Amino acid sequence: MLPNLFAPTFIIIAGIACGFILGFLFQKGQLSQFKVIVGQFLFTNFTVLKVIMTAIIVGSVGIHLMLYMELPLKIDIYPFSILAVTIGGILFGIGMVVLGYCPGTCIAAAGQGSNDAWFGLLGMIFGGWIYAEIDPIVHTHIKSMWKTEMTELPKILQISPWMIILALVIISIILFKFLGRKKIAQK
Amino acid sequence: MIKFLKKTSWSPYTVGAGIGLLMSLAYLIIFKILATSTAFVRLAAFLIGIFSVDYVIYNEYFSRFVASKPVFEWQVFILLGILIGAFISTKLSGITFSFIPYQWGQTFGFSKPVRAIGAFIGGALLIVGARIAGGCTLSLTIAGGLELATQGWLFIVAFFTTGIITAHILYKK
Repeated sequence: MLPNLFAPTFIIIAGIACGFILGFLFQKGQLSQFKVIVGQFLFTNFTVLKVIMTAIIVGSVGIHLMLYMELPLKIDIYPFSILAVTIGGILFGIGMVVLGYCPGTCIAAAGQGSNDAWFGLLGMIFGGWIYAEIDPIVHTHIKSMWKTEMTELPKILQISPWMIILALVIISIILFKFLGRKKIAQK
Repeated sequence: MIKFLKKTSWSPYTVGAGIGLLMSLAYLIIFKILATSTAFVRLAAFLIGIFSVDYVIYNEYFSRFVASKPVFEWQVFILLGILIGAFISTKLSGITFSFIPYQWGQTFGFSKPVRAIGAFIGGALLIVGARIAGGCTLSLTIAGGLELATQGWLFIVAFFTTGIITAHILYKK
């Protein structure tokens, strides 16, 4: 057995507390359901997009407000490989559709009683092992390719983050209003 | 309040706002992002470590996670919390879920072992993809997204596009 097992108590409690709220939110938000996740990709259910966009907007306002108030935040944004994120995203997308959950919502699915999710979790642990084996190859041939330092949208577009947030809000309102009307029209 | 907690579902906007708020507070109070993909690497390391500690320590990738930090770290406890939170949420609303999702059954049939294998493969792809890209839906899509980081937005485009294509191939009737 590995020697150093447990993080400090504070981290344990904070982790479980945050996870609890997250799990509750996922389950109530129906994100832990196959039909909702797959439904998003089939355009029959827009819950996923609504949750993600709202979370990004609320969170973005939150942290940029905190940064503006000069509160101490630790935001790690590093240079990355465009190839790695693209390939990783593709595999993630396939996995998400085959499994019907993403990692976080899969645990929520297991918690809610969708017992197929447990096999998904086993698969994820297995995936952790696979990756540990292929990491040297990935590092040399994928993660070192097409690297970019263009890591922050506000800097690239040369505008204030608030402008981007505003754009996201406007796009979201238009998109979700349009979807709402389409749904009423279909009924 | 209790009635609210006992509902079978909440508005996606409420849930999204809750997640965004939780994320912001996590940045401020604990200096950490809510994330999950590394937890699965840790769990893999732990399970393998039961059989051979040497294998884990000499694996360059695993050792990064277990050398200077404890095995059961932040993300692992988030997973535990999610499990409990979802469980309580379901118990409060009183609904049950089936083993085989309907759309899966329409395409692959209603055999449990087949679904189990499919879920396993999907899960493996998820984590391999997440580790190559550098995160999962929480850490890259939501945290990266709200930080307005290009890595996050590129990931969103990549997995969403792929997901749409894959779903249409597999499940569109």
